[in-house]
Amino acid sequence: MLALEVQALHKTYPTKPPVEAVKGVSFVVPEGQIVALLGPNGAGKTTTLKCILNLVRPSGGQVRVYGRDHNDLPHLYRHVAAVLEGNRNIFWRLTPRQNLEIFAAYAGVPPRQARQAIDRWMAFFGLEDLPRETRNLSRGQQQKVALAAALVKETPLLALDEPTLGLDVEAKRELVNLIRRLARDEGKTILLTSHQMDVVEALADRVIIIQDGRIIVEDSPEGLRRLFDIQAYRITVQLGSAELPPAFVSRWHARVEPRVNGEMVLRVTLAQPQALYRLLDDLEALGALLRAVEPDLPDLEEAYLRLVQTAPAAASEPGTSVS
Amino acid sequence: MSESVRGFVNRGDRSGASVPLRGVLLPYLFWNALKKQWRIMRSYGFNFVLQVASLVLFFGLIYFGARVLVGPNSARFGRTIEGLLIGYWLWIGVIMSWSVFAWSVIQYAQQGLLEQLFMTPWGLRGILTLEAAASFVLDLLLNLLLLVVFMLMSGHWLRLEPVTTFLLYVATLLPGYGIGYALAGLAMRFKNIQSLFNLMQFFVIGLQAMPVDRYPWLNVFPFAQSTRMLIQHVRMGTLWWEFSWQVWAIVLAQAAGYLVFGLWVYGWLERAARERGLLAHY
Repeated sequence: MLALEVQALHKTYPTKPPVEAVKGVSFVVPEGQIVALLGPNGAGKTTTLKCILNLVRPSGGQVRVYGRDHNDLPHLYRHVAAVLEGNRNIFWRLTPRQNLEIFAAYAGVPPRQARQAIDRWMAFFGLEDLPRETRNLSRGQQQKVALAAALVKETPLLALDEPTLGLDVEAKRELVNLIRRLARDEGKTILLTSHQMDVVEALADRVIIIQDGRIIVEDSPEGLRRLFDIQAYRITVQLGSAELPPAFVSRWHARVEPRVNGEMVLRVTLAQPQALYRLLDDLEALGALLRAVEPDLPDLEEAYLRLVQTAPAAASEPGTSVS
Repeated sequence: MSESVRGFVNRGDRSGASVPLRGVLLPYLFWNALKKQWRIMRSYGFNFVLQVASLVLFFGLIYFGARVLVGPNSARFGRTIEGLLIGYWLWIGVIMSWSVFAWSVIQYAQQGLLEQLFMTPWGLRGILTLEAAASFVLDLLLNLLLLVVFMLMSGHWLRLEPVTTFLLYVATLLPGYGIGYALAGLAMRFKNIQSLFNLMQFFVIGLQAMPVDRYPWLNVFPFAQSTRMLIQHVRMGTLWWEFSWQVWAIVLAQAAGYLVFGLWVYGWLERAARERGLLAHY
């Protein structure tokens, strides 16, 4: 079943002059997947998310959540919970448990189920020993409280807007692991926005890149990397104490990394695959001992940067590559 | 399928048909809202004490001012004090009634909670109404305590029949709640409207003092008629069933009219705020 279907979503803010923030976005989120909306600031990803949640009135298009139109608000909010803008979604003058109690009640979760859900999510996030008011907790703990407050509503779909923003490395890693467990072990469907590549790469089954209000590409993280699977190589050589001649480096536009244990790594991008043989011949002529030749795939961040810099202005249908 | 999703499916939530919302859950919801309001009031204890102290101090200023102006030993002073006690007491109630809406929206916007409270099966309006009902209980207890303090300070004890007093107190506050909905909508759309609150506090005094006996058309404005009724109850012992049906009709029409108007304004402004993506802004 599809947890979420978005068709031709449009949003124009009635400012002077009007701002068209979302220009015909269409995508689906199957149950059980983690789908990430990625894009630069002002791309329209948060507006897209808030239109789906009906927090912002769309100008056009259709959104269906578990088969029903998202304007059926009671149905919508029994099926999706959200954590927006980091840790500012909670009552700061209440303790974590008190926050979960009030959010469960407001979500219409019956009392007995609410107690069970509260105990479960408090344990899941390790919040049991925090009797202090939420305003006195660390940012990472506050974010966990915000997540738990959303989860206590027991909705199958979870929307997360920049969930790791402002967290330190350790807190971010912990939260990423928790989110992954939510999808894998708890069966939650998750739609998240982020511009942190490591988070998206660690979590997303599918990545939708939005720029200027349109989807420019939609694929798995691996698929996005392979879009730029060109003739790029990482060559490890042993050259003793000698350096590579500048003429060689210049001719092949090689990026030379610092030596490690006497070995040197060159990164080159070639116009044709056959050029690799000429390069290897040149290295042999210099007396270099070849240790390894590997394809040099760009990481997700590099793939993303190339996509947003080279995407055409016209809209693309989801699933097609950008040349 | 995980246990949580299985449990969700078994509740039949996806059909939207079997979750026992509204009627069954209302008492539970109300109790939780009451607990929340109480906890937050305790958390802001120092501020709360200061607010109460300022209300008591202000009463002291008006009371002793009236003593100087009218003279403490005249019969007129006795009548003045009755009017002062009731008028001031109801004024506090009215301010509390609309503050719970408007201040809530402002504070929730600052805390990033407006969107969260919107995303409930009841909607933001439903949650605000619920919290206003919970606040009514706490505010009523506080206001009764304040009335006792005022009577102690003035040495003047009012004879109040509970049911009559309660009905007229609620009848006075209901238009205030209507105005509160409208103010909540304004706060959502325009955010900083604290200056409007300050202005309206003085406006209420004028509304309470409207000469509706002489100019009945002034009953389009709230508070005056119900304030007069409560003062009449205090001075002449008129009980709730002894008032004419016409004055009750006026008071109830004011309540209904201002509630409907306030809800309509709120709905319009909430749509405008969502159109502009302002729920998250503060």
